[in-house]
Parts: sequence; structure tokens; C-alpha cells
Amino acid sequence: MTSILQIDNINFSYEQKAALREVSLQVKKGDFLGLIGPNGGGKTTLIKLALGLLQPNKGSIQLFGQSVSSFKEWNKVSFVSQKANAFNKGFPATVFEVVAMGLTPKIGYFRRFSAKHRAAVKKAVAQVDMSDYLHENISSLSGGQQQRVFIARALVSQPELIILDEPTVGIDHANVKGFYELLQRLNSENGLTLVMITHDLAGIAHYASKLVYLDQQVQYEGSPEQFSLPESDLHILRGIHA
Amino acid sequence: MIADFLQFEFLRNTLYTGLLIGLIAPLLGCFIVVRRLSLIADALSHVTLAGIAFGLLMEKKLMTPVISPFYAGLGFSVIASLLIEKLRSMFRNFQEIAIPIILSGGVGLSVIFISLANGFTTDLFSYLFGSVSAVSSEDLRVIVIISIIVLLVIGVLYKQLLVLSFDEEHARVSGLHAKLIHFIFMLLTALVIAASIRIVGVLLVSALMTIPVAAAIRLAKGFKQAMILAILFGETSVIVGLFSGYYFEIPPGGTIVVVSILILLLSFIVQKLLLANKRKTAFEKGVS
Repeated sequence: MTSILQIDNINFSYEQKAALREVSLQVKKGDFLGLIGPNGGGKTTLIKLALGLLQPNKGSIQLFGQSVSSFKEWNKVSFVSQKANAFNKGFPATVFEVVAMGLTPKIGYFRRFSAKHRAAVKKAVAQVDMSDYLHENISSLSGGQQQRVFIARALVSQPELIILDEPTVGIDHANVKGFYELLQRLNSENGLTLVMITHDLAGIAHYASKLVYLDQQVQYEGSPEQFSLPESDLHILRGIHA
Repeated sequence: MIADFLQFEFLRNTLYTGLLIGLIAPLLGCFIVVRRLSLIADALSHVTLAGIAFGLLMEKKLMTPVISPFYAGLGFSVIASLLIEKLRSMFRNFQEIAIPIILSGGVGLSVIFISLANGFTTDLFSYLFGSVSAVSSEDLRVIVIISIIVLLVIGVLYKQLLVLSFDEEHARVSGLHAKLIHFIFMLLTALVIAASIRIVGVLLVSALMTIPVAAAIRLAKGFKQAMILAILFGETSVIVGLFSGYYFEIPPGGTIVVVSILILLLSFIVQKLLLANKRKTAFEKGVS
């Protein structure tokens, strides 16, 4: 199967403090990879490296077979951050406008927003079951609904890989299940490759096809079924330092 | 009164300028407010005052116009917008500190230039609070050019500015030239402030960029609607403010700001009524 993301023997440190040591990882087309690990274990750093926002001290990173430093086809990759928490609650933008923002890099500076783009936005909103809210302000929606809108924004440019950084933070328990089901559907029906950082081990183990446990080094890489963490270490995954 | 504005050239200049800044100030203001940069407009306007005072000083000391106060204000404002960015990048964890540094620097320089010019002149007073008779044909020409630049740049960069305003992280990940777009945005802000000071005055210019927007975002659904409402409120404030300022012989800066605050208060009431109506409809639907 084609490799979408290939990370080989990377080291990275913030000034003198090592964040990642000899990390290697492969994400293949169609994977739903859950990236777990304690706070400070380097999960977000690894994602930033994969997106070319940071440069490794050593090792190589390839996206779609090209070095990330010279990678240009960013329309193939989308990123969803912890927006349900960090998002400016008063921003006056409708669901349509937010999802349309996902097309901005594709449309560029001088082309106008056309009927074709409008249809793409409506389709992406329908994929996350939010069509009834198309012209509502994003600020009037619940955390779970907002996160669905951000998924639609990631989907609208028809990427092949979506990277999600703790997208379930701030979403109530009842909506988290629906959110995972949506991701699984996009993964299995649309063949979308997903990489998701999370502390929710129970949730991700149920839906992901592959699990990676990262604590500065890759401690585990394999199927969720075979992964086990000692009971005493479970608090680490919830981000609670006892 | 309206006939006066059509009959006399200086009043016509004022009216046209007012209509232009009533359009571009709230338009750019929409991005300024949602990006939480409202105070940057204030800092830039105070530096513009220093530039104007410098221009007036040169006029007085050299007895010949080397650089007009308007252009000096424009130049100072553009330089300050670059300095703010430099300071924000130097104090990454305390970015807001750039505002008091630049604002107080602007006021400090203004005091020095005004003192060197031996005091406050009537002309400076009109720069502080605006004037219905201060716009020359040359000023109007420059303001028309600034307005065209602002409209063209926002027309081209609208989508990118919206992404940058909504989610800076997403903008960077998407490969947008976030730094360059922000830099252009700061230059536009400096230009709009310089264009607005003849009518609204240095001390009140940021009000025209923020108060109509504050009223608009209470009522709007979506960003485009917020922009349209903000422009509508901005134009109303400028027109009513200009005519009433002329009628009562008050600097128009004051009347424009008071009208825009009245519109803001009205928007609170309308929003409450709309909300009550929505709840009533929802309740009736629930009962039936």
C-alpha cells in the first residue's frame, strides 16, 4: 500500500530539551492512526514536524513520497486543531463561510468563488450532517457541532490525509461517539487517511485501525487490540499528573 | 443645509471624503475588530498626530511647505505600523506591549513637536477632532486614491484575510502567506487612519473603525452581512454627524462618534427584540 507519511529516525529538541528521539513512523493510505501518549511526549511536536511547521534536527520526513521541506501539494493535507476550545466564540461567520475557508488555498488570490465551489461547500457540510445549520453563525452551535464544521472545512478541499489534534476536547460525552462514527465512516467509505492525536484511549482503540504510543520515542506501534498499558500508567493518557 | 454642501466646494470635498471614509473605515474595521487589534488603530492614530505636528512644525519654522502635515501623518503612521510588527515579533509572549509603547511614543513626539512650534494652533485642533472645512481638493484626491487601493486590496485578499482572522494556525498550515498578508493589512490600516483624520480627527478615528462594527456583529449572520451592516452604520454616522456638526458648529469628529454610539445602543435593543421574538416562536412551536 502507498505510504502517505513516512518518518525516519528523526530527532528534535526545543533548545536543549529533547522532545523526540529516533522516531520512525509510517502512515499508509487508508489508515486511521491513533497517536497517544503522555503530555510532553512529543505528539503535537511530531504533527508540527509532519506539517513542515518545525524542522527536525536529524532524520527525514516524507509526505506523499516527497520531502516535507519541498512539499507543495498542501491541498492533499488538512489539519483540524482543538478548535472547540480555542475558537473565538464571538466571530461572526456562518457555517457556509467557515467551510468555504477550506477552499481558499485552492482558489488562490485572483480567482473568484464560483458555483462549483458553492456546491463543494454544501456537499462537505452534508457529509458531516450539518446541512440544516448552513446559514447559522458558528458561534451559536455546540462544541460538537462546531467540530463537525471544522471537519467539513477540512473535507471541502478533498484532501487525502486529515490530521486531527485532540479534536474531542471540549465536546460532551454524548457527542464524542457520533464524532468517532463520522470519522470512521469517512475513513472506510471515502478511503480518507486519518491521523488523530488523543488522550481518549478507550474511544480511539475502538475506532482506529492502528495505534502509536509516543513518549519521546515510539513505545508501541500496532493494532489497538494488542495494545496494553499498565493500569498504573492510565492517568498519564488522560493528561493528569498524579 | 444640504444645499450648502452641494454649493460650496470645500463642503463638497468634506461630504465626498466623509462618504469614502464611511465606507473604508468600517470595512477594514471588520477585520481589525475580529482580529482583536482595535487598540492598534488607536496607537497608529496617535503616531499620525506626531506626524501632523511634525508637518506643522516644519511649515512654521521653515516658512515653506516641505512636507504637508497630511503626508507627514501618513508617513509616520506607515512607519509605526512596521514598528508595531517588529515589536510584536520581539515580544512574542507579550504582543500587546507594542501598543502602549507606540501610542505613548506617538503622544510624546507630538508634545515635543507642538512645544517646538510654540503651542497649539487652530489647525492642529482640526486635526485632533476633525473639521467640516479642512478638506482641500488635494486631500480629496489622495483620499480617493487611498480608498481605491483599500477596496482593490480587500477585493483581492478578502478570502485570505478572512482565513487569517478566523484561525491564524489554519492559515499557516494551509500554506497562506500569513506574514505578508498581515503586513499588507497593517499598511492598509495606516492608510485608512491617515485618510480619516481630516473628518473624524486623530483622537476619534479608531471609533469609526470599531463602533459601527461592534453594532454590526450584534445583528449580523455571517461575516459578509456584518461588513454590509458596518458600512451602513458607518455611512449613517458620517452623514448625520457631518450635517449636525455643520449645523451646530461642532467639530464633526464628536458628532460622528456620538451618532455611531447611538446606533450601537439601538443595536442592543434590536438584538434583544429579535432574541425575544425567536424564543417566543420556539415556545409556540413547542406548545403546538
